[in-house]
Parts: sequence; structure tokens; C-alpha cells
Amino acid sequence: MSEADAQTSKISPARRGGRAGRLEAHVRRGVRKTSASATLNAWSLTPGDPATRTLVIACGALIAELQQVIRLNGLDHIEVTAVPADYHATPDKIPDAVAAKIRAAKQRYAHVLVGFGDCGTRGRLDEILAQEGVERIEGAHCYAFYAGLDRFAQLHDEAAGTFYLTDFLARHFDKLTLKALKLDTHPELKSDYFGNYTRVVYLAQLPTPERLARAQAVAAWFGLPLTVVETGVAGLDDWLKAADRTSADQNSAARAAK
Amino acid sequence: MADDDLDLNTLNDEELVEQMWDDLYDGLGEAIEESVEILLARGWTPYDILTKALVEGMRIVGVDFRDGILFVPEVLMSANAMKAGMAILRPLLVETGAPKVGKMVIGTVKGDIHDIGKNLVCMMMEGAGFEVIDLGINNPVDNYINTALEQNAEIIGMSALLTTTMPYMKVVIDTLKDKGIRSDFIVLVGGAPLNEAFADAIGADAYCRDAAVAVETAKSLISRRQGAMGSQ
Ligand code: B12
Repeated sequence: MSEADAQTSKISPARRGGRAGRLEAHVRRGVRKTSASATLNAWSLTPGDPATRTLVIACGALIAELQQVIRLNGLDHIEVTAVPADYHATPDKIPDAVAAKIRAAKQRYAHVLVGFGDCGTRGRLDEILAQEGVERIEGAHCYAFYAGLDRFAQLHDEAAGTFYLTDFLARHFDKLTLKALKLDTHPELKSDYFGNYTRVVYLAQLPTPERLARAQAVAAWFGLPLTVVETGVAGLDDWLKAADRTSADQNSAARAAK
Repeated sequence: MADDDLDLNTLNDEELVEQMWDDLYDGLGEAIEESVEILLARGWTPYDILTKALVEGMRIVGVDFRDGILFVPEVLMSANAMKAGMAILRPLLVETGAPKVGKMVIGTVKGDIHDIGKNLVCMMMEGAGFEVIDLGINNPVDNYINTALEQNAEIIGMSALLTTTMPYMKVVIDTLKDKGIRSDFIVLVGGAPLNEAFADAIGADAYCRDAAVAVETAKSLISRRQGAMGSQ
């Protein structure tokens, strides 16, 4: 059926518009651009020696915790910039968004690190990182590197039907899960998505009573028991400090070579 | 509801089929059920309704999902609408002896309970004339192999959406090899985090990026196999 046929047909306007309506809306909405350069401009006012500064390009879901790690360790020469966390619903967008930020960052920073898991990018993120010579934190997703890879495997073995929460996801569950899956407007889909889940595990980074209450509310929405596992931010902390030591070695080597 | 404004009975066959594509696209299960009943009453064979209206409609949904125009919730709603139509057609297809292309055992691997994509593959394979035995989610190796042997299936399909569960596909394939029955089956794998290189590395017959590719690949591998058997 051609678009023209769709418009002249005696049906459809009363309905939601089928494909023709959707395509029109898609064109109107346009495609969201990643604003790597805009973000970097904001950083250009930051003081510090450009020859030693590090930028961590990370998922929006990790920014608060990374900033915490930076603050606690006094790693003032490390800055962070975010790629939107909601790209997780369409992981094919992640590698290009990260690559754009890496290329922009390389002009301004001595070192670039990536705070992302594989996150369903079909290995493309790792391919790009290998090309760019940039390292990322180890693990398939943030649940794994917060819990620690072995502990995560153990938790998942205990119950395959586990849904994981982090501080970030507990706080943004409504937007990142309910809204993204259209459960706000189509509650009837709940059992299609979650019918096979048996428990919720809250991997708590920096638990507060308020965050715990959020996790409890999410588990109550699922109608499932909640297990709380305090992970802290050691996964990020160990990674960032180790990567920073490597950067420092590279800085000294570069100075020695001059 | 706005949909009540439209009397599907007033549409001729061609218009009705096009409307069904739109209704599948919009995930309107009740409208699909009604249209299926109308076409049956007009003397359409269940097989024609399945392929020309439902499968073609879902093919369009698949294309727009691939192109980033539709997202997971829409695809899920479309699949549910198709399921509603299939529920009416399935018993009739059995009665009318629609062509059978082959048999597939499919499931999501151990540790993984993502199933939207797998369910879609089941439906499209069924729509293409395959008999599909759906093992559901979280399947250990025995589920695949025992069922495939018992049911005399030609194809074993595995789905995984987590990087951590993908390697389990290799466990299943290696077990087939250990038992000396690897070449008795066509092994298809799929799921968002996979790619062709991974499928090659674990020794699968093919990686399929979506349900449409799964159908095409299954058909061509089955006919190649039948050709090879015929020439023996
Ligand atoms: C929807 C979704 C969910 C739903 C699943 C509902 C359900 N009943 O399946 C919910 C919200 C419950 C969920 C949960 C989780 N998810 Co999830 N999820 C997704 C999401 C957004 C879409 C998957 C989907 O349904 N796509 C739609 C279908 C139509 O596409 P498809 O699955 O790719 O299938 C097609 C093809 O791949 C192919 N195919 C698929 N299987 C097969 C099999 C064969 C044999 C063949 C031939 C072809 C084939 O054909 C299909 C049809 O065209 C993906 C991201 C993404 N866009 O891929 C993340 C994603 C898969 N999830 C992810 C994660 C981490 C999780 C959780 C751990 C999160 C959590 N907070 O706990 C849990 C998993 C828990 C568990 N125990 O398994 C990650 C995995 C990352 C990784 N590297 O491993 C992803 C990639 C998100 C991300 N970017 O990080 N998830």
C-alpha cells in the first residue's frame, strides 16, 4: 500500500493511524542528536593542566557515583561526562554516542576512560574502544560491576528471575522502566514483561532510608520479595583508581621522554 | 472508543487486509479478531488469512522496529494482536492441513528470562508453516536436546539477551557434539547482544538478527538439508 492510498482510503482517521500516522509523527519528531561538543565546551572552563587531565565518559546511571568516588579520593584532575541512561532501551545508539565523545575529548584531555558495560551493544562498543585505544570498566552491565562479577553470577544463579535495582534505577524506575515500556499507559502489558520474575534484588550503592523506601516501593509494585545487597561503590572505586595509576605512569613516561 | 466508528464489514477484502496491517501496527487485538472472523465468513482459507494479513502485517512491524520507528512496547502490542488472531486460526489450520515446512524447538537459555523476541520468532515461524515447540525461558541443555530428540525436530533455536547468558549456547552445542548428534540439527541463535561472529565462534549454523531473517534462514537451511538428503 502506498502512502497516497493510505490517505485516500475511506478508513483509518478514526483509528490511531496505523503505519502512515506513525511515520508522520516520526518525521515530525526528528532524531535526537548527541551533543558531545556542547558538553565539552562546558568543561573547557575547568582549570588544570590539560596534559594530565582525564575525562570519564559514562552512562548517566553512573555519574553521581563516579563523582562521589572522585570526591572521596581527591581525584580532582578527573572529570565526568554523561551519555543518556535511556539509551539502554536502544543500545545500538551507545557506541556512536561514546565514539563522538571520545573523539572530541581527545583534543582536550590526556586520558579518556569509558564507564559503560557492554550493555547489549553486540560487541560494537568494545570494537570502537579497541580502535580508539580507550579502556572501559569490566563487566556486561552496571549490575555486574557494582555487585562484583563473581557475586553477580552467584546472585543470578540463585534465581534467574531476578530484577536488579541500583540506587539510580530505584530512583528513576518510573521513567526508565515504567514509562519506557509504556506501562504507564498500558498496564495490561505488565505480565508480558514481568510475568516470569520471582524477586527484586536491590544492589545498594549508598543506601539511605529514602532510597531503601524507593526500592521497597518498586518491589511492592512488582508484588515480589526484595533482597537488599549493599555493594557500595567499590567496583567503580577500584576501577577508577587503577586506571588513574596507569594514566599517571603514562604521564611520567611522557615527561621523561621530553 | 474511536474504533467503534469503523464498521469493518463495510470494507472490501483488499481494504480489510490493509486495515488489518494498520490494526496490527496499532496493536488492536479485538479488531484483528473481528477481521479474521469476517474473512473466514467470506470464505478465505485460514492459511491465506495467516500469511496475507497477519504475517505480512507483522513483517511491516518488524521493518519499522529495525529502523527505529517502533519500539519494544509497540512490537509487544502488535505481537499480542497477532496472537489473538492466531488463536482463532490455529485449530482451523490443523483441520485444513496447511503445509508444514519443518519442526523447531526454541527457548531462551538458562539464566535468561527475556522472551519478547523469542515469542515473536515463534509466531513468525509458525506463520511460515513451521511447527514450533516453545520451551519458554531459562532452559538448561537437557530441555533443548531431549525435546528435539523426542519431537524429531530439525531445528533447535536459542535466544539470549544477556552477555552473561550467551555463552550457554555453546554449552548446548558442545553437548550435541559430545553426543555425536550435532549434524542432526540446524542450530539457530538470536538475541540483541549476539552477532554473526559469535554464532560462528560457538559453532551455530546461523545467527538471525530478527524474526523475518529467522524464517528465511530456517527455510533455506531446511531445503538445503533436504536436497543433501535427497542426493544421498
Ligand atoms: C524489554 C527488555 C527487558 C524486559 C524483558 C521483558 C521480557 N518478557 O522479555 C525487562 C524490563 C523485564 C528486562 C529485564 C532485564 N534486562 Co533487559 N532489555 C530489554 C530490552 C530493552 C529489549 C529486549 C526486547 O524485548 N526487544 C524486542 C525484541 C523483539 O527484540 P529481540 O529480543 O532482539 O529479538 C529479536 C532478535 O534478536 C531475534 N531473536 C531473538 N531471539 C531469537 C532466537 C532465535 C532462535 C532466532 C533465530 C532469532 C532470535 O528475533 C527477535 C524478533 O525480531 C533490551 C535492550 C534492547 N533494545 O535490546 C534490554 C537488555 C537486553 N536488558 C538488559 C538487562 C541488563 C536486563 C536486566 C538484568 C535488568 C535489571 N534491571 O534487572 C533484566 C534481566 C533479568 C533476567 N533475569 O533475565 C541488557 C543486557 C546487557 C548485557 N550486555 O547483557 C539490555 C541489552 C539493556 C542494556 N542496554 O543494557 N529487560
